[in-house]
Amino acid sequence: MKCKGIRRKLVAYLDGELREKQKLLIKKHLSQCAECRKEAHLLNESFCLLKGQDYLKPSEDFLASLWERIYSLEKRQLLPQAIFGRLVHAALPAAVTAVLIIGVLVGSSVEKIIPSPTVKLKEERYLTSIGLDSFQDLPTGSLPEIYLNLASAEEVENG
Amino acid sequence: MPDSDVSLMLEFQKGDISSFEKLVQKHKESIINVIYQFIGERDEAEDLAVEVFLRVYRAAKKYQAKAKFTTWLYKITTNLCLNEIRKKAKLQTISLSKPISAGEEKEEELIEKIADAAPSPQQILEKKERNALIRKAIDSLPAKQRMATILQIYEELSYKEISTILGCSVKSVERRLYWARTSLKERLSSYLTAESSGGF
Repeated sequence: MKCKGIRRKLVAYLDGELREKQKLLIKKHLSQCAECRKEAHLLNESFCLLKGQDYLKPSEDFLASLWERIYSLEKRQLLPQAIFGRLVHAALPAAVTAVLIIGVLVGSSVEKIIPSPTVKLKEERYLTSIGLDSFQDLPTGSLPEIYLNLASAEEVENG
Repeated sequence: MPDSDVSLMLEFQKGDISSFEKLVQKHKESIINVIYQFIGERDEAEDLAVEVFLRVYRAAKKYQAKAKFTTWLYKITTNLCLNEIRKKAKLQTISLSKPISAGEEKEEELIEKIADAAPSPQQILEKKERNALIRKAIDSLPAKQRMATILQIYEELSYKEISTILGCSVKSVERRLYWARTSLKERLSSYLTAESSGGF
């Protein structure tokens, strides 16, 4: 592996995150290459500098603030609006589903009891409007129609 | 070996509030510090840490012991931190070039922290400057590189654990840490000595 490849693995190497084979490869390279060794040293030093940062101690009122928040959360959950809100939240999807099912059931039974003549009438009108009410063997302007017209004209000419 | 934190969480799920207290006591310091390293403000770090434990409290009923408790806890922390950064970016109140708080209003905090060693005024000043530079270097990292670095350096988590927390692959963690540490090394170069003692 060349220096560039080694350097990309240096951080993982220093963190002890490489497999044994890669670790040995890098270790060997570092023993021979002063530049990469220097790079490893600088990375390690910056790590130690960061690691040496002071650790904060939680302030004395940290726990008090947490319990205050928990208490107000519990209190809010016990309020009647919150309880009603939770009920609505849980019941609303069920109610909507029930209404939809009832609607579909009632609709289909009504259609069975009272067949609607207006629907058939509308359908007929629509079919007439698009010209599908009568059978046409040769559509106007089509090649077969032109051919037949020419053939019948020829027949007339020939007598 | 069973995760004792998971057992505490399951006890809390059954209604044992003292188990929750134990969990808070055990982890509050590391959570505050992870957030502090990420955000850079002590008060804000504590507020967000309260929010983290509040979420743990609220999630107790639905909690399932799928992974290590700390992985779950750091995941909540990371999400909160990333949301906070996004919120700040939206409000445009954050700037990478802003003055470092550790060097300003946190002076008394710093003095309090180093009081034990009884350093000279010169040492105090040097430490203040160094902390400010470190803070600035950490702040300059992209959010996910920053969080991966904090979890790796301060919490000593493995790449695998960090990948679970950040929701990415181990390779991606490796790449993020490589870029982060290279950038930190350059920014902190004035405090680093080039002499190599070898032994790698």
